[in-house]
Amino acid sequence: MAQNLVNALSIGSLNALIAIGIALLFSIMGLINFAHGELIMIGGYALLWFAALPFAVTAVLVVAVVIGCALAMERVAFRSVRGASGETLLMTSFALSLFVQGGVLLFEGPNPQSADVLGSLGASVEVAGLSVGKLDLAIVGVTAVLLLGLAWFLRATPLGVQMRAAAEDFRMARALGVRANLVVAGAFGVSGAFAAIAAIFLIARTGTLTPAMGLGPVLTGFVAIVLGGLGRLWAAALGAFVLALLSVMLQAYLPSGMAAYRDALVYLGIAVILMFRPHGIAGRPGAVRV
Amino acid sequence: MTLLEVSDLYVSYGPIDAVKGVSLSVERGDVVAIVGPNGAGKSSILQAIQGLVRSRSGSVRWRGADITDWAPERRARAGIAFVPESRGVFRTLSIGENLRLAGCALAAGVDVSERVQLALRHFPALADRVSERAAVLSGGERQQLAIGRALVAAPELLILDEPSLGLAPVVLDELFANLAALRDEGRTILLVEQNVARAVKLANHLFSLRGGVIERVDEPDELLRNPSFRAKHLGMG
Amino acid sequence: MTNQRTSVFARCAPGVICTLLVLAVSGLALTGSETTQRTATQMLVMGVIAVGTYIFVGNSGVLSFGHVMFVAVGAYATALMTIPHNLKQALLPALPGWLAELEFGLPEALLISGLLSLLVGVVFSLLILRLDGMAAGIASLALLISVNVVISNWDAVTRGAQGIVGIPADLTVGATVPWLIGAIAVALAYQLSRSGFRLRASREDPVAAAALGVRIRRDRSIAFVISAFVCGVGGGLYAHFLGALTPGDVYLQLTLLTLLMLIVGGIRSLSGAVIGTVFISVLAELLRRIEAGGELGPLELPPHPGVQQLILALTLMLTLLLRPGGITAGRELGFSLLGRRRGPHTRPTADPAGSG
Repeated sequence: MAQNLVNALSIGSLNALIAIGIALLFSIMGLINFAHGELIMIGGYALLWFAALPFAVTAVLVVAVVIGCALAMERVAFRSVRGASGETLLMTSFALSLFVQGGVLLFEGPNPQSADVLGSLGASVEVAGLSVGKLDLAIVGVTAVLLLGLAWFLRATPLGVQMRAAAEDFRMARALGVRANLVVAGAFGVSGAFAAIAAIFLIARTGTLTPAMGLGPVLTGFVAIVLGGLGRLWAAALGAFVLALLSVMLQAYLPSGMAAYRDALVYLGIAVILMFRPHGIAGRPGAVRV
Repeated sequence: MTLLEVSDLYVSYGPIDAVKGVSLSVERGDVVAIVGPNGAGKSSILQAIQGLVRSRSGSVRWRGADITDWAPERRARAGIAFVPESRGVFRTLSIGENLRLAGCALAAGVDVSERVQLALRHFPALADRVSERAAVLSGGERQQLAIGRALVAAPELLILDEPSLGLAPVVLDELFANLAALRDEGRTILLVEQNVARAVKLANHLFSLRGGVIERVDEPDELLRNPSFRAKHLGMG
Repeated sequence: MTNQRTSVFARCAPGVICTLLVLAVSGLALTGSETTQRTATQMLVMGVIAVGTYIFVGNSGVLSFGHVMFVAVGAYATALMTIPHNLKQALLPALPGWLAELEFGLPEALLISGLLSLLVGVVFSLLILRLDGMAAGIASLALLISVNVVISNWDAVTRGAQGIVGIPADLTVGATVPWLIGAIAVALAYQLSRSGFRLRASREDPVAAAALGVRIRRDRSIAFVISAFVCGVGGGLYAHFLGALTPGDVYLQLTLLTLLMLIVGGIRSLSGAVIGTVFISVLAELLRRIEAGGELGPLELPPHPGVQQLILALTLMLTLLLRPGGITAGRELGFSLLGRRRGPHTRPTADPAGSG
């Protein structure tokens, strides 16, 4: 049981990294970014492209590349539809996601490729009588640092305060002098950074890359956000951990014949939770337009 | 000097014209009030001046420059400060954060803390509560914060949309005393106000807006004394 | 207001004109080669799917990203009901007795598949239609993935990832046209009904929608369920078009195509769904040939996997950026070519000035 909890903590952390990246953009711009999955995918491929370099350098480059892509996405695809209806934003991000996927498909081919990342963390360590993977420790640790860092950024830096204000009322923030482009770029930048780190840990865990690998994580992120409650940044993290817990528990206690259906059952479980709390566990009604 | 010049402004929402060919100008030091019945389009004019709403046609000039297509934040940085009807106070931020946020509109190098202190002098009640979340404020206090916040940016023009809305009479007295003090300091103010008596007392130029059409009121005191004059300008009194 | 004077005849106009369009395209195709007819058949099948999806997405404004799940249910159901008995036994020995015995002609199988999809729709609507519009749209994607997981793993019934082969691929243009016309008729009937009218009204005014609350949820469910039926029928037709069915055939690629057809045609009108289908079918076929490589007129092209997805996604993005209302921009084809009605204002005239 305790082992499962540790597992859930690690998976939850990874989910949280993904979910917060998506939730940040949603809270400021009302944009649910399907293409976030492609940011993660590009991060994965970037790991491959820079594999020959020492890991620290690779990591920095991966983060830089993904942030660059996020900013490019904003400039090219989203700026022109800023302020459009939720439907249009959602469809634009869906189209962008498939476009980027198609592009990478064209250049890298559809076949899965393998990447060996953070192999040195493959071993396990004894913590309080449990066997915990070093990688899991790293994931939980880094996620905690990043989340705390984000909290600090939003509270203590001028740009962070501007972003919080924009999340509450973008128009009023602009009327006070907050530069829309700066805030949006900042949000995409942070979102990209989180996507890059998530990519590194995801590849460290799974070891394979395909152009379509973004869909799973992005859907996990969405589900986490909806589960936690749209409209609240930290609710996304909550949803991420609950989702992980559900997933791990089902994995542990499902009869082996049903193991392949785990994902479907997780979604079913979440659908049931949402039936009772349609605005999410910690959500508030009215946060989103009908 | 003419700070603001609005020419032949039209603002539409779908097929409905809220503002029809409105022209007005505001000189430095003026206090201009626009009165009129609800739904006349008063808020739309202010929002178009701030850039929160796009006008269908017509122009807005600020200190001679055509700002009709400028983004709201650019106008704020140019010296226009806006207090909307809803006050626009950020509830998830603290009072201090709200005030400091307005510092965005200031030029680089200006000490924001100093400006915040100066603004708080008008509203000493807020000064002790700077780290509280703005969500706990009452209606009157929120109004104070909104105006105080607008002042942080050292605006050349202060725009207020229905400042009296939702406030108790006692609070109103304090508010308009504050506004009169600002006027006497030499500030330029443009406001839209439902409370005709207060508007007449505060302003030195008065306009009425009916059905989107603006008209200068040359004898503001008549509005208070003469019911038929009032009916003519404001509709159903 | 012209509304009150609009006769029943005029209100049926979109349906009639779309039908004529379909007949015209089909007639044209019948004069062409076998490949042309096959492409036309595919277009007609996609038309059923697009119109079916439109019934929900177009009327409610909820972008159901997972709507293809009903196509999947319909496709597999029809496949199982129409494969010749012997083949079924050979492919799916583990099938429960009564399922193994089932064998129907295509029309009956399609209607039963539609009903099955409808039932699935009823269950799913209970799950997701309480959510906010955007959340519901994404939740439906989760449902699609779940359906895909089930199809890919329920080997006894679906042969999992290997898929079902040997489905009678006998679909002709002539056989498919009535189904598309039927779908258009159903869509029109719903659109003109009170439920449809309320749903569209709520779409244009979200504040009123929120106030109407329960009513809207019920109307959404109705649209959802009818939509599921039509998509199920479309799925069955699709299975018969393909002849062999794998989980990937009724998953994301189809989703992109369907959404593209609706958006490019114009998501708010029935005419848009039909026009979009014609337009995108032609485009997709062209891209498919480019992707597969081979001869394109005088050109000789090498295969380029991924080109189709790339260009289709680009088309979708450009449409959203440049003409989000699509070709029809929310208007229905009417008898008067000046037809103004129906279109909501696709660009608000009051919004913040300037972009920076």
